Amino acid sequence: MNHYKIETLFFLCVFSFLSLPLFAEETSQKNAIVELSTAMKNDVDEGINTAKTLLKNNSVGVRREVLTWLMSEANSLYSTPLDTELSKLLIKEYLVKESETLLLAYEWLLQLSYKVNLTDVSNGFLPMLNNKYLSHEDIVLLGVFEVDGFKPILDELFAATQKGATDSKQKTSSNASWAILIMQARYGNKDAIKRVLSELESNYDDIIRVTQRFKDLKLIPNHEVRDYLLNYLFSEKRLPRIKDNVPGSLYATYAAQALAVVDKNFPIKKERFKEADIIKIRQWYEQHNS
Amino acid sequence: MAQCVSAFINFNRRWMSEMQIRKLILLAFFAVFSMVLVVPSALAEFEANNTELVDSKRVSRFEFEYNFRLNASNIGDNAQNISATVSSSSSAIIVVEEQISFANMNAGESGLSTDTFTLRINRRVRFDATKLTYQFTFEDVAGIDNDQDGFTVEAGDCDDTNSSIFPGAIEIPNNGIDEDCNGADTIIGPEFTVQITSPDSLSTVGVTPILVQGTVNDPDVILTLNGVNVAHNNGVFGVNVALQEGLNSIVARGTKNDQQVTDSLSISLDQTAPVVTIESHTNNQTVFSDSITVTGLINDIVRGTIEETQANVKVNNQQANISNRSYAANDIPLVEGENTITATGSDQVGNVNSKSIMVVYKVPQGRRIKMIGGQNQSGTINDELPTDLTVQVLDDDLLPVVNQAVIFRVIQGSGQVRIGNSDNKRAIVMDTDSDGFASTRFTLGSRVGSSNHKVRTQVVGYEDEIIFNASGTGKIGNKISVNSGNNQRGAVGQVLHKPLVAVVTDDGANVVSGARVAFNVTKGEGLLQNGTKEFEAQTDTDGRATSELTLGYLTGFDAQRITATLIDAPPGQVLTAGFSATAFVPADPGQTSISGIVLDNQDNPIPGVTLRIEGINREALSDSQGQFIITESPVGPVHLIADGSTATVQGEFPSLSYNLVTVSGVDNPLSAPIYMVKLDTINAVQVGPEDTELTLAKYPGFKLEIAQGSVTFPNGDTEGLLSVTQVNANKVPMAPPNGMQPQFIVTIQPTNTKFDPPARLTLPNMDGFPPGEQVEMYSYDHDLEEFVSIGLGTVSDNGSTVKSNPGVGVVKAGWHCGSQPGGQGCAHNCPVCQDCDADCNCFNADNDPSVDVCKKCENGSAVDKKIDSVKVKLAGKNEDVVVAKDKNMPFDADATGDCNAYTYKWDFGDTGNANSKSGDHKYTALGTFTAKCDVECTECSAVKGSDSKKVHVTEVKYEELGDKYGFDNKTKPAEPWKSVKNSDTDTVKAIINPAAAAPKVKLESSDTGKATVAPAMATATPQTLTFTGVAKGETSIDAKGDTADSLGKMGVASYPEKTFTVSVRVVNEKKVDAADVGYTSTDLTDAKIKAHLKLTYKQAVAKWTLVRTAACSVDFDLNDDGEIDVESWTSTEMDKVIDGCKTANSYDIFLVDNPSDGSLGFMDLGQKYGFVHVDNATAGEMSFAHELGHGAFSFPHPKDDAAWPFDDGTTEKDNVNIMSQGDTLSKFRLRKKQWDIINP
Repeated sequence: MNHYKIETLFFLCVFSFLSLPLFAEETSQKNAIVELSTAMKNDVDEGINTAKTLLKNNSVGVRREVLTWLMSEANSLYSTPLDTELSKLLIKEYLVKESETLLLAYEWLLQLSYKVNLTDVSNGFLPMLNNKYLSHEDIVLLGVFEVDGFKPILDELFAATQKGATDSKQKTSSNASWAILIMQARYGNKDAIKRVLSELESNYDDIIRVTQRFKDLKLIPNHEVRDYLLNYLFSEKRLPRIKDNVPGSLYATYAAQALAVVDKNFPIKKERFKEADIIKIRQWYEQHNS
Repeated sequence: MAQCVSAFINFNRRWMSEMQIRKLILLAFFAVFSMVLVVPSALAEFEANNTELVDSKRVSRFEFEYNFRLNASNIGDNAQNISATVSSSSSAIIVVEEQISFANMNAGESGLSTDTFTLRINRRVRFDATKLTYQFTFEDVAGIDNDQDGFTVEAGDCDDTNSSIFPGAIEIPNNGIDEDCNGADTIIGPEFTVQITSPDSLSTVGVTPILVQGTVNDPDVILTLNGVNVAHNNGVFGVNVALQEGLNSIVARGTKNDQQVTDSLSISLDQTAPVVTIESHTNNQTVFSDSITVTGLINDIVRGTIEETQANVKVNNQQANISNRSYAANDIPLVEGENTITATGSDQVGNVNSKSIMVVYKVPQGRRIKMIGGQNQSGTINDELPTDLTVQVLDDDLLPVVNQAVIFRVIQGSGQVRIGNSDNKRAIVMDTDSDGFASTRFTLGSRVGSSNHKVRTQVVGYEDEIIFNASGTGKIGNKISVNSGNNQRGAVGQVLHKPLVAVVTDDGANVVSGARVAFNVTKGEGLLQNGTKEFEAQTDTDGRATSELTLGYLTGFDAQRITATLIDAPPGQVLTAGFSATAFVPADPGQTSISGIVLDNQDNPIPGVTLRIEGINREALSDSQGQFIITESPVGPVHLIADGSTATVQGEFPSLSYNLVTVSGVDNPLSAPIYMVKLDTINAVQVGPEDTELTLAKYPGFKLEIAQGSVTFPNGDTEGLLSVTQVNANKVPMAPPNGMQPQFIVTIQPTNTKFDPPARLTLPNMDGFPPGEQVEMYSYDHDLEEFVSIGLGTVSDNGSTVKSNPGVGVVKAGWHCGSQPGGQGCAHNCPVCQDCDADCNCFNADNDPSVDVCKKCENGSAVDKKIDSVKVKLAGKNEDVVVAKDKNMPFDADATGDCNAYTYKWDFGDTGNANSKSGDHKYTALGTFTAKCDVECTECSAVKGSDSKKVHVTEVKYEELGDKYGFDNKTKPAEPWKSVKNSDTDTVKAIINPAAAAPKVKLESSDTGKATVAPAMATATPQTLTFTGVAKGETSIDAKGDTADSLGKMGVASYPEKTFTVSVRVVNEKKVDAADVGYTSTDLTDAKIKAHLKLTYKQAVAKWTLVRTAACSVDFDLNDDGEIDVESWTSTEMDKVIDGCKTANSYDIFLVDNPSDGSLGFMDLGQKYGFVHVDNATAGEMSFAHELGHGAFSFPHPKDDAAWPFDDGTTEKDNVNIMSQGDTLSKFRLRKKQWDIINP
């Protein structure tokens, strides 16, 4: 080989070597999903065990793929054991606090919290009680999963918030304070419920209140919250247009999304609501006047 | 020059300080003890003092050689070529080098030898310094005998230019020359006498002419009285002499052959009615008692005080007591309703005047204040009265009121009140006791007078009030000062035309009568009133002690001295006042002249002033140096007029006049320059038609109140321009009497403008009199040609001003001041910056107030004042500063130097200036300016200083530099924002204008717990700033200069990094329905999407995980139109896609083609699912990021967002960001508002 060929070969080798991990991970992600789906087809328990193994030793990318696949399965299977085991796996992943999976795991855990027996999984959060600081997401999860030992901490945090002091468990930020308030309201604290509703009206513009903060109200199954949302359900206010030829969405469609969770008697079980749905829902509430 | 030799022996003990310890003992012996031989010489004479060791060396086992210098003193006269020979009488001290030399030494000087002598000393033998002898050789410097009369100046020749004058020469009497140098010309007195016997000197009369009588003991004597020939028969003469109002001098002059004799007297003509005021009550005042005490002032042109022997006052025909110009009439009865109160005063010559007011007596009803005790007491000034001032407060039922606040306030005099052991104050408040009583102690003020100390008692809510009156009596005199008669000129052996008058005052500046004063002639051989050099007099009711002086034979300016010593002085104190007089030897009357100099207030000569002798045609003009001489002047009393209207320098000057008495045949120089103040006519004010107040901008507090119709100008006009000019205290045309040294004097022009009623005068209290003090106010009366008291003024309660009392004010325009009699010491013409001791010898006086305002006294001489330093402080710093535009910059200047006060003139380099020491200045433009402060002595504008500093008026702006995270300069408020990830850094660029300010610009973070900034100080512009995120939150980055004001702010938002997950999924990658739906584009790669998501969302410190999910297939085209219906949220076709393609990820973006409306994408606010119409989007990755903004964070389009800050004047285009529509999609910005939504 002449000099140039040797040089070219050398670079190719180096490139191949450097690329190896990347290719290895891609292969690993695909293999992991294949392995997982194979196992899950055989048996849920086997699938869970395989998932545990895969989650134990792999990169965050693989872990995310595994968890995403499992979440998809869980959404389609309606299997409480799977939901329970997946919740446990997600809790472990959440505790790792890896940026790439943190919010995903948080979101999924909130979804699963409606499906599982909380006492079966909440112990997984216990290590978090020892954390020096608790984030917005930490507080929500600890509250939603009703983790033993969290309520006194929440009370302290709430008291500190009331006094405007900074508690050792959290560096005061509006986000964490909001989570404390939401969870206190969830636990039935009347003052907290009032404050939640009051702050919703005073601290946020319409868009954020309706499209983002109403989601938080799903965490407070309370008749005052329900009544609050009902006001919006009957509102004709609309959000700004997203497209020039499409009217902005009714606030009511977002209120309905939250009401569907808050009010166990909500008439229509859907993820999203259209204006036709809103008409029906309003009629239902008018008829039932409850 | 004589060659002289002296030798002497002397023993001096000196300690040598520079020797080494191991040699100390030995060296001390010969260094400490010196033996010196002294031999008297003709003129010069030397003595050895001590030796100074220069060096030493060891020359054998026991012997050392030492080199010394000798210090010697010349205790004789001047000497030159001085040397000395050193010898030893001890075998243990061998003189190796014996000769030493000295520099020339004048009498009294000392010095070291210029070279050394050497001794070899055996250290085994005790050193004996007495064995050394010094023999001096020198030449006397004895002076030069210029006139070859055998005497040098050093030998006592008192005129070495005249060979007939020398010690022992023949003395020729009465020629004014001291031929024999015995200290004075010998005078042989005339052989006849002339004496005025009636009236008494210093008396006051009310009519003119008066009969002047006297004696002459030689019928051949030619007698004149004030220059008019007078016959005398049988040794007596009598003639009527017309007087002018005020003080008159009458001189009787007798001549025979070449001999002259004079006698004189001073007499006052008083034809002016006294001024009577009522101070106790105001016109139409309501009182609540059926009798009142009426007090006020009676004032006359008579100098000094007024006592009952000199004036009389009746109030409603009831006799009043008079003391020190104050009168009081007690228990003047009132009837219910209106009462006229008339005070009528008459002086000792029968002039009468009166003052009336109306007082309303209201019978008290219901609640009232009742006087219990302490009224009408008398006590020594400055002492506490023996009895408390006590009142009782009664209610409507006349029952005592308990715990009622009662106010006691001193309303006349400088007295003070107190409660218990509290401090004395001008006013106190105390509560009534259980019986309704309240009382206070009262310490009198400093002025002697009848009922002239008053305390008012009031109760809040009560209509009536109680006035307590008290009288002050004087103390022993503790000051003596010259009243008049100083600095006179006269003929040798003749009586001065004015007596010497000293005045005695106490520590309240009250004149003291009955005090004994001893006059002593201390120089010049003059004789006092009793014909001896000692004369004791007693002060009269005006505090004046008087003695005539017959001049001695000593000629020379101010050569004759007389002291007046207060015999009745406080124990242990010697109090004196001094006089000087000048004696001339009279000569040919035709050679009589008057000379002087005319200066302005800054000592500049005033040329062109006409000096005129009234009544005859003799005058002269002042020359360019201000000097003048009027030749062929008359002999005797002369009225000299200085007419400033002819001055040839710019400005207007007044006219002045002087009375003096000339001596025949000699030049009669004025005793002081004629000072003419340049009149401030620019600020003259029209007066007459209405009430007018004149003020002086430079002297806050000064005020002259002229009532409507009160003014009459010298030409008879009743309206016109009136000006007031401040006069330097040491430049008044004539000295104030009684030793007064007022610090603030004004002249009101035109002189002799009359005011009726008197114009009330308020002066700044520059003399520092205490609050309430009653201060004498004086005017120089141009008719009387002397200072006269116009009454009293009262120092304000805050001590800042002296305001003439009611009814008191300027009657005639002239020179005006407020001051108190007092002071002591000699008053002859010692040079400026020198004063007199008790023997009237001059000594250095560095506090001499007469020194020119532009000079100061230093070691007895007047030297120019200077400003040592001026330090400009801007923003508190004496350096160039950086400040913000449109903000106040504190400025201050410190001046140090010799000035009494400083005037500051600021030029800030823009259009601004200021005339205060300190303040604030606001620059309204950016740039570098020079702020300069010129400082002048307030009292002398010629003394200047200056300092300046640069001011960088600076602005700092921030521009994007680093792009790791976001930068937003479009969001309200206008300050830009930078985002940064916690524990990471990013940068911006600071643009500093002007660039020169950069090294002084500080950069601060308001909350380093959130983010920090580096560097802390800029070095240049542009300056790269690095921010480090610390914890979630916001901090303000502020650029500061030398004030707390911001030069430019920006915000830093620190966020923890967040990662969101979105799935991207192609819908129907393969053709599923050939008739309706085409292939979905797949050229929107992950790389493109990721790159743009990163570019956009890193600005909010957010990341996206993009999950490529395998394409899904959905037959959504329900209406078979080949398009996906996207004209509602959500359409049924969109629902089909969502239901068929959704994933478990946080967000799903579906890539579809053929949207029904040709749009680029659709994702409603706050939704999970979105669509990107990849076939329409030229840059699908931008639409991807845009739709995620809608769905994940509810970002609306800015134009549709009511909350978007467009009200700052910007447009959507200005605020373009990832959520903007249309072409602006090419943009990628996220703004601060959006960062915060992503990071709630």
